[in-house]
Amino acid sequence: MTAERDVTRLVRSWIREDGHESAGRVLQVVLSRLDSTPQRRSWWPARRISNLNSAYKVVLAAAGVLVAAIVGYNLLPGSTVGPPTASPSPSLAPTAAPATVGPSPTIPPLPAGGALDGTYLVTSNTQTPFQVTVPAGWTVTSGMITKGDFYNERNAVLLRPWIVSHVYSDSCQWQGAMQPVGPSKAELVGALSAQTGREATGPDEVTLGGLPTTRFVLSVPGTFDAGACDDGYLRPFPGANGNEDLAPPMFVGSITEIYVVETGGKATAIQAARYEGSSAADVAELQAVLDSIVFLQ
Amino acid sequence: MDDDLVIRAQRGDKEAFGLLASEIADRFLAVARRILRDIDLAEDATQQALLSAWQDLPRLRDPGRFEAWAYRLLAHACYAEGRKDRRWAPNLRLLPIDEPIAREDLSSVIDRDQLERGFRRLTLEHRAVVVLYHYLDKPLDEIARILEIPVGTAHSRLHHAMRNLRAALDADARQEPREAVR
Repeated sequence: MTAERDVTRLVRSWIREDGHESAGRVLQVVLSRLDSTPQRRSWWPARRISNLNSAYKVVLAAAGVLVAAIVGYNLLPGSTVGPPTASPSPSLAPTAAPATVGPSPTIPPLPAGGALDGTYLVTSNTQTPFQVTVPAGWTVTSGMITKGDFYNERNAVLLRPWIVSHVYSDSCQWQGAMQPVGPSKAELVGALSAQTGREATGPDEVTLGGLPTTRFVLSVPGTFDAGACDDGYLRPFPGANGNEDLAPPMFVGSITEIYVVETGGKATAIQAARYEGSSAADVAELQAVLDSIVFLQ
Repeated sequence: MDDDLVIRAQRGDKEAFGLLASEIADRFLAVARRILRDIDLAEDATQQALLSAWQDLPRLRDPGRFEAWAYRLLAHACYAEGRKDRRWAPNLRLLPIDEPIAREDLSSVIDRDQLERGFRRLTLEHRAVVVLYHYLDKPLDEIARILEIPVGTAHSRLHHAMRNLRAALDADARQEPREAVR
């Protein structure tokens, strides 16, 4: 048996061989492409506003006033865009929400990253766009709407939509256990119902965003030894098209609710996750965010 | 890494980005080559990562985190290139060895070969952790931040990878007596 220290020594020695790579050719190609590769601008206020000429500043100010007026109008009672109704509850249970409505041009798209505070239009990772209202203190990264760092803080909360093309037959031994699943809600619910390797309640029939919804509650108790699971955590399904770089992470102590809705014969899963250690206030905020979802058709 | 260069590049300064890219490009290629075990794929991944860095730089909030952020882009570019490669055929070309084989100890050559084979059997995600840890000497908490995975996952990936590499070496050790009889 090769001793541990020998393996480390051999690997380190082997991996450091051939250290003479020169990226000159690559660099040349990259630099030659900068002119034809536009930068994607940030979503937070540009720091170069002082560089704009006066005419642009006037136009920008006018646009700001117009947006504020439209948003203000929409926040009036009876509007389709309203603040969330918080209902502090340790378990998430969506309340009856407004029926699906048409898209409003005033709702800003969910940014790719950064701080959130307000109502946003979500168009990625969902079969049907929906609007969602998120309070201050929440952020978004790669489509994950979170309060706290869900990967590293065992009290964070998270909401994220998913288009599910595959389901792991075993959510603990998930490597190599990916099975394709049809696009309909019934097929996704069937696959999730047959899944092993985790504790679950459901399927329950509830309503989310005005749509009939099937809910699963997947739990990984704090006492669970996830060391036997692949990579030390559980997964219900990978990202769209079987992309295993992405998946709802189910860490020890987490409670993951999966809401399956169907629009146009195609299912979307909404993941609402928290930890046993999440505060009641944060769970209530997650509930409010969930309740604020309105599907736009 | 010079924060001022990062800020200038965020503002669209191509010269500043060129300086940043020259500073990291060789290391990026070295890391990509070690993850992908193929110089052509590594060059493509490096190119893609640098172009993504240029495109998305304005969205980087903290210029001080440029390097970690850029390594994340590189890791994802490697995953994408590696998966493209998998659609074709297994790439079994070994890396060239600098020193003539005659000067190498035979067991060392066998070790390298077994490590190469064992490493190629690892997933790209496991390879990335091994390279960041053993080649770049990054601590696991930093690797976790770079790859946006929990520290526990970084730890378990490294453990899993090393266990498999040790198994590859042990398989070789078990074969040696049989080969000696022939």
